[in-house]
Amino acid sequence: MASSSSVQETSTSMQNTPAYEIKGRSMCLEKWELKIQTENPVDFVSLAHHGCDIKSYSEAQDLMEYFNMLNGPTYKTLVRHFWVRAHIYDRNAAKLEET
Amino acid sequence: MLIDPTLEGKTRKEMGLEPFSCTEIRSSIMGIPVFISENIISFVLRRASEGIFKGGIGNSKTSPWNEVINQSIFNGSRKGAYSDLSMEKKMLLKIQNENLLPKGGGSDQPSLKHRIFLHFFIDKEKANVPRYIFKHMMKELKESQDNKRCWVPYGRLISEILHQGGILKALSNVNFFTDEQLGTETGKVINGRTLRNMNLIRKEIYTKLTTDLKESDAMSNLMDDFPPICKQDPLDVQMNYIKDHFATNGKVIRLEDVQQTPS
Repeated sequence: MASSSSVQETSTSMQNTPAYEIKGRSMCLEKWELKIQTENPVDFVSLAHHGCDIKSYSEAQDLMEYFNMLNGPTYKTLVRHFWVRAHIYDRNAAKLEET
Repeated sequence: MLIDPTLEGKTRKEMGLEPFSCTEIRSSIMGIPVFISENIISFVLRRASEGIFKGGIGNSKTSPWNEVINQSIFNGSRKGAYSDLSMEKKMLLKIQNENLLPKGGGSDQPSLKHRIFLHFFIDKEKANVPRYIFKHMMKELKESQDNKRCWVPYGRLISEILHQGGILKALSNVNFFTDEQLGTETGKVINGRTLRNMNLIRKEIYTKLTTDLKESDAMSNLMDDFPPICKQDPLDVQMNYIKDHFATNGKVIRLEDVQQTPS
């Protein structure tokens, strides 16, 4: 995916179209179209009190820090901004840089 | 090379390129580059990127995994239905679908990947969670790019990565700061009430506990100079700190914005 978008970018800039129109964006979705999913923190104490004791499963996966972290803010504006510009940089994308 | 033919046959370094180290999701916010990799996720989770990861699992009908999974999830050799699951397993599945490998859709028909991941949880075999999350994030990013899927997973995780990457600090310097501008939101806590809503416990059994986790407040996270107080401090201590903070910084802190526990 990353490869095709950057190919597009070079070909358009060669036709003297302003580069900033495409540059950076990796999808044709608009920011406001995106629906951001916010993770849900887990209250293991309350769950265990109601007969659903699953803390040990999370501990076995070493994920207690992760669940603590979930109880915090999601900045949806920033995530949208991040997502529409995100591209995957892998071995193929690195190869393409070399051409 | 298209631009400069003399570069042909040269190494990345000779071309002035960074060496390729690992696969990353690359983006930027207001000109500040943000890279997410398996290592970054592992760092934010404060957990090593180790454990089992099963990639290329192939066809879900013929996979040899089915037998193992059915044994741990359904306690039998055949694939059961969601209603056959125990309360703990239903809850683990819910947490997986909402947090670890978010699906953004119905949760009753888990994919083979989801079932294998759940199997690791139930059997307490350590899975490589950072790798699972990173691969899942890339898959969903491709969905947005190729199939215009408008759903974005891991809002909180990405936000935390931006926060730790200094993005919020940079934004506060240009006064792009308020919760409205940032679109701040905190996920709903999964607790006893969730069990009630899922009809896993009887309505009258549900009790609110004094220890119940409250959704965090974003404000303290955004302010560098937030006074070192929390709800556990005596009320007059909290009030004094807030008064003092107003006197020195001219900023009002609402009592509700004080965190539950020390940060």
